[in-house]
Amino acid sequence: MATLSCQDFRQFVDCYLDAEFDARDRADFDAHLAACSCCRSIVEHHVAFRRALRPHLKSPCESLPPEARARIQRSLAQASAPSGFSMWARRLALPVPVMAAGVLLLIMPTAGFTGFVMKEAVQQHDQSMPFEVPSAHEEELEAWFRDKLPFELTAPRFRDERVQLLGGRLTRLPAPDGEHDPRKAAWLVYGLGRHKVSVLVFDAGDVDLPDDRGAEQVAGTPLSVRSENGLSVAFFRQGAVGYAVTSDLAPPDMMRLVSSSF
Amino acid sequence: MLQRLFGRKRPTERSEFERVALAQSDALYGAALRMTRDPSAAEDLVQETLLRAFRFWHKFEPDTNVKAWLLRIQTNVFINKYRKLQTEQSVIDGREADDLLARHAAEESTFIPPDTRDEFFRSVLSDDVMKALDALPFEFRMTVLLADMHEFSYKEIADILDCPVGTVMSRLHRARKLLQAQLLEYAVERGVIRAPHGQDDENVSDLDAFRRRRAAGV
Repeated sequence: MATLSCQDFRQFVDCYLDAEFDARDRADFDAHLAACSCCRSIVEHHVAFRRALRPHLKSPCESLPPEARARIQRSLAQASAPSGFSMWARRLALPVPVMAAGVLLLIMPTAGFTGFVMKEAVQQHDQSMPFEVPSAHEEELEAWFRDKLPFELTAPRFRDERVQLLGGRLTRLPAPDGEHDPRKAAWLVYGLGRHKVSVLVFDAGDVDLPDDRGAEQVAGTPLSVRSENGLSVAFFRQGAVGYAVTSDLAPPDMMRLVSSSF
Repeated sequence: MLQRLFGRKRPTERSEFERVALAQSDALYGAALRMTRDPSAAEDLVQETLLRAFRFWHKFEPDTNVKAWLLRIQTNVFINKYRKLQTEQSVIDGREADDLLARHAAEESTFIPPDTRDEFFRSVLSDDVMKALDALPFEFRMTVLLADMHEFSYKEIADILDCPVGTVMSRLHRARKLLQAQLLEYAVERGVIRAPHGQDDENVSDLDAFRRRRAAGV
């Protein structure tokens, strides 16, 4: 067995004192320590420092203030209460195949509108406009949009825990053929590590969205992913509301993120 | 099915969550204070962490450490959101850490003779410890906090901070060294102890002090 050098010992002195070693490593280090007064002195120094430090690290009375605790409990109660959306989701749950078929038959395609949406989604994703409502809570954001859109906004709940809502703003989409006024829409931004995921939510009651039949689905409705300028754009709808999710993730990753999320 | 997909919770889940996770709110707040260095931002961070944890409560494995799981979420929330606002932090974590380490690179810079050492360690104040801890770069600060305040293993710290165990080892070693050097400086400034041999010599990087001494004819 090779003898432990002082250099080895000092390199791993933290592991030794933090009880990170198994019995065999520990025996080697104990043996070195018994024979080396210089390393013993270093260990004594480390031990004395930790002994002096720990009470100060552990002692501060840093309790969450009672009013903050009460606020958190209120938010938890709010988050667990059924919302308008979940009731809508429950209503949707049973007749999804029927409704989906109905929607496909009833919607009137508006030529070129999807192309506009895709360009707009990509452009807004790149522009990074400031948020009008910086919020990490979907409920708060939905409440802010309530009177500002001609439809009820439901922010996507991503199931990937790394994805986090950052905020949103009101935006407009170019008017489809035959309409004069631009359509009001919501632009939401989420963070996913160093990736940005932006979601354009718009009234799609009378427009066709790309439909890759047989591909992935989101909560019972088809999901399609397109590439534009190196970005992936995923389209799907929830009833009459359309979603265009844009990010620099590769299309398969985007598909996975969105399909497993809603 | 859809209710599960959209992440709504039943009241029983909430009481279970409050019993298990909310009980950790003081620990989360203590860590949040060290992360944000601001009581109001710390409260917001804890709230956001707990709401997020509640949404992903179904992913928590009951036999695992709930504090480690919550601190991991809190670290992610902080990095994703709050740290973007603290732009200076990224600079500190890079260049300033290197400067600090260069100043205290030698083992000798933090090695104090036993007689001075006892005096020094007795003189350490909680406020100084917190000030020195808050002055550390974020990753170093978190590593010391998790190891020495919460006594997590290297593996648990690596999971919480999402980095390799080797990185935890090296950060911890360097962070403790920086902490000690900083506390020593405070003790010398307050006149509690004399600077250990070698530190009362002229600091070559402190040109102003050198000029003042030269002007005074010392």
